Amino acid sequence: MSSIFTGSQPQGREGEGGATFSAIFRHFRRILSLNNQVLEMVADLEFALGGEYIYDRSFLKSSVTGIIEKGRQVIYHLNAMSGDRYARLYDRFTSTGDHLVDILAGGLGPYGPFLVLDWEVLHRDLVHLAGGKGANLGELVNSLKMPAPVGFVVSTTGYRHFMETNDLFTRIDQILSKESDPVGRSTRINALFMKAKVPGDLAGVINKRLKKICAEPGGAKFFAVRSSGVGEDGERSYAGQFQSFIGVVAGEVPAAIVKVMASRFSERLLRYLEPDSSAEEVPMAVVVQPMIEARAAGVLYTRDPIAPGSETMVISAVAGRGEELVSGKQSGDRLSLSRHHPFFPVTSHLAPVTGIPSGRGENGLRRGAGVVGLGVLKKLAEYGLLLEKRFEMPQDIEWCIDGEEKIWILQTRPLHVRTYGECKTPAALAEELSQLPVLLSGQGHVCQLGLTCGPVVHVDENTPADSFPIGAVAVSRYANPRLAEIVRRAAAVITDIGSPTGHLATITREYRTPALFGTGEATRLLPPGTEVVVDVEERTIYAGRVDLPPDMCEFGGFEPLAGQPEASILRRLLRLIAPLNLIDPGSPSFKLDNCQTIHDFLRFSHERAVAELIDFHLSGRMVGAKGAPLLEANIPLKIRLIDIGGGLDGTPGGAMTVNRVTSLPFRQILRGLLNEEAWDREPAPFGVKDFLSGLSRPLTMLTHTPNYAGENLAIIADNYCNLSLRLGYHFNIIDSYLSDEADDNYIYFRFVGGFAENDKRERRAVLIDQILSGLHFKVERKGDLVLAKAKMLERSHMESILTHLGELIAFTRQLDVKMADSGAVDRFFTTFLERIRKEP
Amino acid sequence: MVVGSNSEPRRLLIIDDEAIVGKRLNQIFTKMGYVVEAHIDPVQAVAAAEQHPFDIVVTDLKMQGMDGLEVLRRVKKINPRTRVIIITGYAEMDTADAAFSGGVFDFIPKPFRLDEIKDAILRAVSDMAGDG
Repeated sequence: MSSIFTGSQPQGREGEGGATFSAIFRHFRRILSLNNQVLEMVADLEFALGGEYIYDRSFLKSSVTGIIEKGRQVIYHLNAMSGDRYARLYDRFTSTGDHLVDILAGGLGPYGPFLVLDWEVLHRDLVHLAGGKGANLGELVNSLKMPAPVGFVVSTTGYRHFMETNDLFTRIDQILSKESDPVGRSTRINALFMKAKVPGDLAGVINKRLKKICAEPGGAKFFAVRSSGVGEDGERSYAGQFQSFIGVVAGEVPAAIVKVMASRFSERLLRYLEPDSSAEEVPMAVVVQPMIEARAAGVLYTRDPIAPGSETMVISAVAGRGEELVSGKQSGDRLSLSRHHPFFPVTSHLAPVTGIPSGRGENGLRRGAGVVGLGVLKKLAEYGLLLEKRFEMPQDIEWCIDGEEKIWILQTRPLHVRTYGECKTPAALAEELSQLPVLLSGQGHVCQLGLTCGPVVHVDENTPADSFPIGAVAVSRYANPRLAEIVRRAAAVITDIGSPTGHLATITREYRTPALFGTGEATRLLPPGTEVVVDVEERTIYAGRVDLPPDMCEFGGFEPLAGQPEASILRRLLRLIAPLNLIDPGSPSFKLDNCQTIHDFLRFSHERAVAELIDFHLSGRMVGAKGAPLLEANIPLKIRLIDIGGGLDGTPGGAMTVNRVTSLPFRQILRGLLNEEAWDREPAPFGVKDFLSGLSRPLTMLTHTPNYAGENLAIIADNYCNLSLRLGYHFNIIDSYLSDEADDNYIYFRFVGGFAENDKRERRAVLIDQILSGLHFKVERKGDLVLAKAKMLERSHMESILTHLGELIAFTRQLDVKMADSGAVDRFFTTFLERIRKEP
Repeated sequence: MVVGSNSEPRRLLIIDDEAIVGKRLNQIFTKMGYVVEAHIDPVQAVAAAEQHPFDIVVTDLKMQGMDGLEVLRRVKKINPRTRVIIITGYAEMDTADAAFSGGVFDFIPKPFRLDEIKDAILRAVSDMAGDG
C-alpha cells in the first residue's frame, strides 16, 4: 500500500493526464485516511457517552485537538485537488473549531451571546443559558419530539444584560452588604426592579418573538412566564422559590419577565441562599410559553413517592388549568398505573363530579367518572417512561390536555425519591440476578450501558414503531437505522448483527437506550414474549424479571452518569461534531455554507473529493490509454488497463490475465462479469424502430465520454477502480474504493444511453433502479440515466455488491431491446434477484 | 459476579484527581461487591490506607500533591501485598518501566474500557489468592 505511487511500476504507460491524476488521487487517498482517523476519534467520543469508556477532561481535550487538526488537513487536501475551489471552507471550519475549544475551556458555547433563545436550539446541556426548566423543555421537544407549548427563553445572557444595563448587580450587592434584615433587603431590591428598564435590544428581540407567536394560526392570546433558574430543577432544587405568572397578555410579558427576574432576590430566596452569596450568583433565565386552553391538567410522578418500589406511577388530574392541583387547593383524581406496558390502572381515587354517576366495578376500580380517559393516562405513562429514561431519574411532570384531547407537557423535573431501608443493595441485586437462568452471555458489543428488564418483542425494519410497546426489549436480526423510533421506545435493543460504530448504535446512545449489538443469535435465543433482564455491562441476558431499584441512578448514592459535568461537556462537544446536517448530496442545501458540524465538513469534503475524481475522468483530461494492456478474459468485451499503483501484479510483460489483477474492487467486478449465467449471448430481437432511435443517440451519449471513446477502460490501484464501459448500447461508469475501513468504501455507478425506444430504455432504467436499490444503493434516476451510490459499508458487503454490479452489467446489456412491456421489468427483476439469492 | 463473597469483601482504593474517574469506578466495583473508597487527593488517600490497608489500589499517575509512583511506593510500604494498578492519560514507556520496577501490578492508559479495568482487577484478585 505504501509503495503505490513511489515504488511499483505502472503497467500501463501514463500520459500527462495520468501523472496529474496520480497527484489528485494521492490527495484523495489522504482525505480518505484523515476522514477515517477523525471518524474513529468521533466514534471514541461517542463510545464514551455510552458509558463503556472511563474518560476524563484531558481525554476530551486531546480528542478535540486531534479532530480539529485533522479536519483542517482534510480541507487542505480538498483544496489541493480542486485548485483552491473550497478555500472558504477554512473560515467556516475555524469558527466551529473555536466553539469546540471554548466549550472545553468551560465557555458558554456558540449560543453564549444570545439574549433570547429559540426553542429549536435548546437541549439539556444548555442549563447555563436557559436554566433548568428551559433546558429540560428543549430536550423533550427537540430530542424526544414530545408536545410542549413552545415560545422562547430569555437567556441568562439576556438576564445579565438587563441587570448590568440597570447597574443592578452592584446596587443589590450594596444593599445586601448594608442591610441585614431580609424583609428590608427584599423591599429595597424590589424598588430597584420597579424602576429598572428593559434595554431596547432585549425588548426588541422579545417583542419580535411575541408578535410571531401571536401571528401564527390559532395564535396564543395568553402566555405563561416562568422562572428557569440555573440550579432550579437540578442538583439544588429551588422549585417553587421563584415566581411564575400565567395568563399574561402579550403586552404585559416584558413586565412579567422583569418580575420573574426580581424573584431571584425575593425574601424567601435570600433566606435560602448563603448570607454572603453575591448578587451575580444563581443567574436566572425566563421561559415564555403560549398558554394552552386546557380542559384538564395534572401531575405525573413516574414513581410513587410513598412507595417507590411498587412499580407504579401516580397521576393526578383536575378539570381546568391545574394550578389548584399544583398549589394543593384541590386534590382531584388520583390514579396509579402499572409502570409496565400496557400500563393497566392499579388504583383510582376519583374526585366526585356532579352529574356523572360513579360506581365501584368488580375489580375495585371506580368507573366512568375520571377527568381524563384511560387512553390519555396510558399516553401520559408512555411519556413518563421516556422522560425517565432520558434523564435517568424518576420524573415529576406537569401536563395538560386541550379541548381536542391532545396532551401537552408543561414541564418536567427530577423526582427525588428516597428509599432508605427498603432500598436493595447493589450486591443483593447482583445476587438476585445470579439466580436467574442465563439466556445469552458474553456475546455482542456494548453500544449503550444499562440494566433493564421487559418482555422480548422481535422487530425488523418494517415493524411499525407506534405498535412497539414502550418499555419492551426490542430484538432484531440487523441493526437497521430504520429502527431509530423503536430505539426511542424500547427499554433495550439487542441485535444479532451490527456494530457499536454503526448509525443505530449512535442512536441508542442518543436516546440512552441500553443496547447490545452483534450477539450473533439473540433472535434465536430470545423468543418473543419472554420476560428478560438485560445487563449490558455484563453482556448477559437473563430469563425473568427483577424489581430494579426505583431510583436506578441514585442507587447506592450515585449521581446519574448523564448528569455529570464531564458528560455534559462531552455531549455539547459532540453536538458540534457528530450530527450530520448535509445528508443528501442532490439537495440544494448540500453546500459549503451549510457545513456546521465537523461531520458536515468531512461529508462535504468527501463528496466533493469524489466528484473531483470523477470529473477528472469525464473532463477528458485523462489521456494515454492507447498503450495500456488489454485484459484477457472470457467475456465479450475488451477492457484496457491503466494501473496507477498496485492494481496489477508486478511481473513485466506477458498476457494480462484476470489472475494478474490485484485491484480489490476490480477483481470483484470481474467476478461478476465472468459469471457465465449473467451473459445472455443470444442476439437481441432488434426492430427497425430501435435502430432509428439509436441513430439519434450517439452524439448525446458521447457528450461526456473521454478521449478513449469506444474503448473500455479500467483505471485501477490496489483499493481503487474506475471502470468506463461501453457495453452494447450502454455506457457505464463504476468508480469504487474498497478497503477494510468501511467508512472509506464507496461505489459510484452511472448508467446511461441505449439504442432502444424511449419507453424501453426507461423500463430498463427502472429495472436497474430496483435492483440497485435492493443492493443498498442510493439511486437517482432521470429518464434512462441512473446514478447510484453506496457508501461506508463493510468490505464483504461491498465485495458482493461489486460482484452483482458486474453481473448486472452483463445481464442488462441488451435488455432494453427485449423489454416490450412493463411486465418485462418485473420478470427480469425476479430473474436477477433469484441469481443474487443463489449466492452464499 | 460477586467477588469474594465467601470471605471478607476485597477493599479497593481509587485515586484520581478528576472526580469522574473515581465516581465511575466506585459505581462499578460497588456493584461487584467490593468495598470501595474513591479519593481525588492522593495525600488523603494514602492517609486512609495507613488507617486501614487496601487489597487493591487503582491510582492515576499525574496528580497534584503526590504522583502515582509515590502512591505506589507508599502503599507498598504500608502493605507489600497490595496490588497497585496505575492509570494515566500520559502513557509513556519510561514511566511504565519505573512503575514496573516499583512493583506495579498493571499499567492502563486512559481512556480505558470498563472490561479492561475489570480484567486488571480480577487478575489482581486471583494473583492475591496465589499469595496463600
